[in-house]
This record gives sequence, structure tokens and C-alpha cells, in this order.
Amino acid sequence: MRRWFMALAIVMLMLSTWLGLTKGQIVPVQRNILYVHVPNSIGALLCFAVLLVASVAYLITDRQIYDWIAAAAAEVGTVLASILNATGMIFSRAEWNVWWTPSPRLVSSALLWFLYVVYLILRTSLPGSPRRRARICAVFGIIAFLDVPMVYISARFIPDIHRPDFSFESSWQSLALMLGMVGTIVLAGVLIWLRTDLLRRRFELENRLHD
Amino acid sequence: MFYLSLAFSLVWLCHLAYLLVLDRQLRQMARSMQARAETPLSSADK
Repeated sequence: MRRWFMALAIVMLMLSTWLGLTKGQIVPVQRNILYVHVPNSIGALLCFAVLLVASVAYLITDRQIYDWIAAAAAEVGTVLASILNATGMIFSRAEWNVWWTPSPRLVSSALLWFLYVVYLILRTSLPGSPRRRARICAVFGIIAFLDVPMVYISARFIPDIHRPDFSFESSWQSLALMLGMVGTIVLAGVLIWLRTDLLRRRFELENRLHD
Repeated sequence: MFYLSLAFSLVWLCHLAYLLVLDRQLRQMARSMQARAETPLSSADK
């Protein structure tokens, strides 16, 4: 089942890349980076939404599975946010000849990446019982999520180099982007699933070793 | 064109590498759990 979802995500991402670089090509050529930049940003934001829901669920129910899902979502979200920032910087260099500019969306995106790196560091370095660590991380995860709406709305309400009113010239372009977004979301889901399973099995193995 | 290739290569490399690493770790974990289940307890464990 999991293999099927992995294959589906890869096929959709391949189709998106092929369509984006052939039938749906945007001129000038560097703007085609948006076919990977936008899906990864949506994927990262959704991962952080999963982290928020799992953290709230953990605090309410105290069930271990939600802590594992939160940890997995944070890790996958951080990888996608790293890709988001890296592709954004490459686009900025190609389009405006600068690697970085202090615009609201860029700063809020970088801040988001730092917050989730801090979350991952907290998970491994906090002293005390695993339960205490999970509760502190859940609270931090909820607070860190406050930056997500800021990333989304920053370009709409504050003057920015990002254009929220971007429109496509052909339906191939919309299709390529849509396939990229769905493919990235499926991929993020599979990655969270794999990571959660890995954490659960590691926990079970440690328990067996201690028995 | 260079920056476009750089961005696409980076994304594909990260996605596939992360997917393969997690899949491999999971299979290794499943193997060690199976080995643990099949190994009888030694006298030291008892």
C-alpha cells in the first residue's frame, strides 16, 4: 500500500516536471522554478498543520501515537521548508540577481525554518522523562505554528517582491503546478507515515530489549 | 538555465534520497525486530 503511494507521488512529480518544462514552460526560463518552489511551500505548511493537530491531540489524549506523528511531521516539514528556502534563494538569484532580500515573506519563511529546527533540537536535547519532553515539544509546536499564517498573509498585506496575483497563460501550466502540489502532498504524507512507523517500531524494539 | 537545473536537481535529489533512506531504515528495523522475535532467550537473558 505504502509502495503504491510512493510510486503515485513520484509519477505525479515526474509528470509535473515534464509538463512544466515542455508544454507549460514559462518565459523567462528561470520562472519555471515555481513548479517545485510552490508545491514544496504548500507541503511544508501542511506538515506544520499536521504537527499542530497532532500536538493538540497529544495534549488532550496523552496518547503516544500523536507525539510520533508530531515528530514525523516536524521532520518532513523541516526538509520541505529547507527545499522551499533553497529554491526561493536560487529563484531570487536568477530573477533579481540577489540571493537574499529582507522582504516580509522571506523573513517569515526563514523564521519558520528556524522555529522547526529548534523544535527538532528540543526533541533530542530536553532532559527529563519522554512524557515531559513530548508535552513541552507539543506546546512549542503549537506556538511555532503562529508563524505559518504570517508566511501566508505577509505577501498579501505588506508590500513585497512576491506577487500574490500571479496568473497562468495556459491550462498546461496550471495542470503542471496542480500535479506538483498533489504529488508533493502525497509524498509528504508517505514520508510522515514512514517516519511515524519507524518511531513506533523503534519504541517497540527498545521495549522488547528492556523486557 | 543553470539556476533552473540547479533547483530541479536539488528538489529531486532531496525527495528521493529522503524517501529511500526512510524506506531502508524501516526495512532494517523490521528485520531486526524479526530477528529479535526468532532468537531464543540465552541463559544470560533469563
